[in-house]
Amino acid sequence: LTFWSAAAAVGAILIAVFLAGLTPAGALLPPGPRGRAERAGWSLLLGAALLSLQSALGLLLGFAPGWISFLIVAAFAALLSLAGRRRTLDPDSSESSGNAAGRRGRGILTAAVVAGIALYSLRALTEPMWSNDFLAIWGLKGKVMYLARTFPSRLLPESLYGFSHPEYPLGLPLCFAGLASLLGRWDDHALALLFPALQIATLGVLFGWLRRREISWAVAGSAAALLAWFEPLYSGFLTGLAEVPLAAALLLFGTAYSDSLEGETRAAIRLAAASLLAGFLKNEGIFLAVAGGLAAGLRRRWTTAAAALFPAIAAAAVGRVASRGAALRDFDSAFLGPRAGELPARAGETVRAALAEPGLWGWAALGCLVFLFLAGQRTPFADRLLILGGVCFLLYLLAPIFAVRGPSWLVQTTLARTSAALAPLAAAGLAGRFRSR
Amino acid sequence: MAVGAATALALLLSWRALEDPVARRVRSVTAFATRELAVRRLGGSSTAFDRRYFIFLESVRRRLPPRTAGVVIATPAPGEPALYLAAYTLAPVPVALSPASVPRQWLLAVYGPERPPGWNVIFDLPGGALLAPAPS
Repeated sequence: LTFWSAAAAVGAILIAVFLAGLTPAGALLPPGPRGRAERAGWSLLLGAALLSLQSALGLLLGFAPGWISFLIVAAFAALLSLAGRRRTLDPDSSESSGNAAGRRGRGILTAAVVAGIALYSLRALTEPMWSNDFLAIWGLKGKVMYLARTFPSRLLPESLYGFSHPEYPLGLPLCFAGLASLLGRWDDHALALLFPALQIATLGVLFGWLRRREISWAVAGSAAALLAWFEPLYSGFLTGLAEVPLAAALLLFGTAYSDSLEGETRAAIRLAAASLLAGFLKNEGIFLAVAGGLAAGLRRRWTTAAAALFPAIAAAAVGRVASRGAALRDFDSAFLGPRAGELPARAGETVRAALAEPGLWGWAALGCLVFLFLAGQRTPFADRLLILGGVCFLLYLLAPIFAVRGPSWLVQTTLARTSAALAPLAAAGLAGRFRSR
Repeated sequence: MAVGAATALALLLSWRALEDPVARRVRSVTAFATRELAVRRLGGSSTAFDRRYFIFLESVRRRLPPRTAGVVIATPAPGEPALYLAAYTLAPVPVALSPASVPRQWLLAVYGPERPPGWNVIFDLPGGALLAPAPS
């Protein structure tokens, strides 16, 4: 098969995945034209979760994942969603197209978003997924699960495969294996199409959520356009790694968390779904869920706290069983005990390395974000997202202090990319501060 | 202030995104799109450290007997890129880089001209050979 025919097949599969998520997303999100883009984004992400679920079920129960099992899982999810769906009247008025200047502005922003997606698609699809971490971790596990139909921990001896981080969650490799099972073969070039699709879903959730929160089209469209062009996240290097799907899951978590704290119907269920997704994708997703859950618990918002915490903890527990109890390899708890005396020096090294990391471009971009923050107004529903993102960033900054290979190594290899995955959360939080009064 | 900051951010992001060699990427996609998947990987970034090594690994993969328990790769330049590329290319067959001790029933794939004693060549491959333990 040529790349074009394989990519067309994966594109068709992704449409099927999107369709599988439509009914669950429709049941979880408020109706109305303003939230259409948000529902579409959720649809793809929930569909991808269903695809991963059928891969996991196939491995557990010993059947070959494929179209039939995927359709059964999708139909079951649709029936469950329809059973729990509440009929509500459409609360939104239809979107007005505005005056000529407004239409021109929308046209420009739409073109900017499309150009950002096109550029990322080109970066993602230039060659088969190639980053070290794809070969050593995410792609390796997906390929093993697809070809050997078993969990990596059952096949790859930990003494030899410690580099593949057996302790990492299996959500993304399961999704790769699921896509390959629908495609009928392992094609690590065409499978990269998943990543631009995840970018589109993220932009949809960002734009739709902001519009549902009565942010103007211009602000929501600008936020989506800026995020679409955010190359530190949407790069060729990160294609195949968990950061792009995690960024989407963190945005789902943040928006559902904020909605849930305001008592919106169904937001707690959305939050639980997002917490589960984030927990199955990366340990950073579990950090965010724990931070959000504890913060909600301190405010005695028990429903939100439970919806944030328990699904991610369940995901972590399942991951631990699947990895046969593999411990975190990059960190050493001895720094909390016998080597605690080294902590101040390690903290200093971490801060120095972190300050050197952004470079001129990074500091200029961060400066723009500070100005955008200052120009906005205090808006609780948006500020919560910024606080969640800020807490996560602080955790990422603390983690290198405990790194086995030294703080500088962990800062230089991971801080920029893990922080880049917070970009959609930051975009939603910053844009939300420009709510029209 | 907001419009100025957003515009400056847009310029910074555009500058960074367009620093990428877009035209070269388009040429690469169109040139390689009709070639088989392994050739596309051969022309890509993951094999740039030693393209002949990937040709060797791909040849090993195509020649591996069914139900191979594992493969030890002996290469003159063992390192993380060599290990990761071998582990991925040969997956789901387990892989180790020499000088890891060879578990029983594993094969040995030697990248280079050396042929260690106690091993029989089962396939000569481009850049090396696939070997099995000699019967004792």
